[in-house]
Amino acid sequence: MISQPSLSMKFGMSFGLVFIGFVGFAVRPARAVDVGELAIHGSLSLSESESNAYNFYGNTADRFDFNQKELTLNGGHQFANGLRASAQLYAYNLDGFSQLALDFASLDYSFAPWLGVRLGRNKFANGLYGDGQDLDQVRIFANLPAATYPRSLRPITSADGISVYGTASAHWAGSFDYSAFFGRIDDIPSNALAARSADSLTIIDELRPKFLDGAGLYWNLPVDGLRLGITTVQVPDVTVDAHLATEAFATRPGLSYNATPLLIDHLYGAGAWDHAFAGQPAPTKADYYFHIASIEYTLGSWIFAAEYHTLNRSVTANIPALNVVNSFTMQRQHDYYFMANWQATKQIGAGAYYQFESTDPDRTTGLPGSVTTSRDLAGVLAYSPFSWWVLKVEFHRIDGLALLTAAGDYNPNALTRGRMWNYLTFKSTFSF
Amino acid sequence: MRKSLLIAAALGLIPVVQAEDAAFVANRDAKVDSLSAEQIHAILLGTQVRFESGVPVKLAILTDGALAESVVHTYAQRSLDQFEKYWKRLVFTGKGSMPQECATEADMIAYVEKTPGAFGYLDKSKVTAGVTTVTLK
Repeated sequence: MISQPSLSMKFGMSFGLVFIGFVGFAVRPARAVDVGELAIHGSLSLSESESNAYNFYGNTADRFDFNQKELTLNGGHQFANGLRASAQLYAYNLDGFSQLALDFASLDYSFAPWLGVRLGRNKFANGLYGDGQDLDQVRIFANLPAATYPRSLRPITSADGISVYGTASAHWAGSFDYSAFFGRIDDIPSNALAARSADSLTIIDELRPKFLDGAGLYWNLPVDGLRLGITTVQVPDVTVDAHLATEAFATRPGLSYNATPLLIDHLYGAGAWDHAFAGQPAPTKADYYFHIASIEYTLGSWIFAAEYHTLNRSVTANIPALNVVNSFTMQRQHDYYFMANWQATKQIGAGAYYQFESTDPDRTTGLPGSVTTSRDLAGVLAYSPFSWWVLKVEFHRIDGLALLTAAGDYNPNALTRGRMWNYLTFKSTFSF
Repeated sequence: MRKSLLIAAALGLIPVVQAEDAAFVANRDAKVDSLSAEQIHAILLGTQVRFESGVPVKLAILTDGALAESVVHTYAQRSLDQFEKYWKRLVFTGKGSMPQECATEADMIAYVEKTPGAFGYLDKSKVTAGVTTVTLK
């Protein structure tokens, strides 16, 4: 976790965002920077968030946290024969985890409107907004609906391989946009947000996915502005290297409290768990399947969207120290949201959404609904004093704690503080 | 399309300047004389990147003004703000190159005249002899 400002400085942090804005004004970035034949684009985003109750993607409980910083640098060139080369670096710090990633680097050639190929590291379609979840400058909301687009899965937004894409006219029926992709994805280290265990009994050392594949199909209906979509992504055969946690870690109060070490100590004497079990390997294999069904309607300066998302996991766990061998479980979760965005003027935009999530729709965990569901009502106001600078203030009123599980922050009071909580974000983005 | 334009104009949903006041122009090397509305739609949204002659398209757009709003609304079915964000998204996801942005019609003409494959639009009255006027099929 990054160091926190004192409470007396919390408003100073907000003004810091505005100050950085004026620095940006002094620099006055151009729409793009041309370096010879290369077109350079970039963006810088800074977020500050606070919750009245919980840590959520940062140290946000009862304090403002400068919890997200993002820098994007993008270059591209189109050759005379139509071949296009582009690459993008993405550096971010989210909730204490920092990464400098090659976001994409590809060669792109379109043979015809209905067939194009990209080779290299490609971003892939995932719902309406998955491939652009970092692009604060292209939407009104600072944060996309968190259950559908969890920030913890940021490492899995591009893959090294091949993507085919195209647009095909369906004449009176409109047109179809499609993409299909296959590629290898990098290993995910233990300090990444995606590696935060939902279960305190095991601690993930590394996630080793091999590849992902998937496809997206969007139907642009003959009604202006209306489109439907469906995307599917699968990440099979993920090896999860993990080990058993210490008793202190497993039994710390919070959402993921696990009493197994206490039971072992009760049976075999105090300290038995830490002596004989803590640190023992607990390797797991998992397959992940993501599906999103989407609808979007653009009417003038309004954009309406709704999506239904499912995540299915098949998990095969092995904990030799506990005689757990090839223990197989299927886990399912789903969520949906409805969103409306309004670009009222060139400078001012507003939006609202409602999202529902259930991490245990089949009621297999025995946990109460307050822990396994979230209902998130969000509103945002965006202001662009200049075309290259946008400021956003976004408020969430949330019923339920399921979102906390995905984010993985430690909340010692999660089971005592109550299910209703608020989340406020200020965000400033420069782009060129 | 004309009927919907009239209705939209009556409702004040689109600017007074009509897309019919615009002329589409192309570099002479593009070897294109006419395009359908669907083809112009595809070029504006980057799904068609090559003319029928095989020459790669270099799209140029006006960044502001009533004419720009009208053309983008009519042929790309988007507001100017949505159109700009659409292209930014393509650029920042590796799926496209930003069109050449022209602040004025003079800039547009200058770019289309000198750039092989260039395609853009401007007020009919501003077309010069150095570019090809592309008619609507």
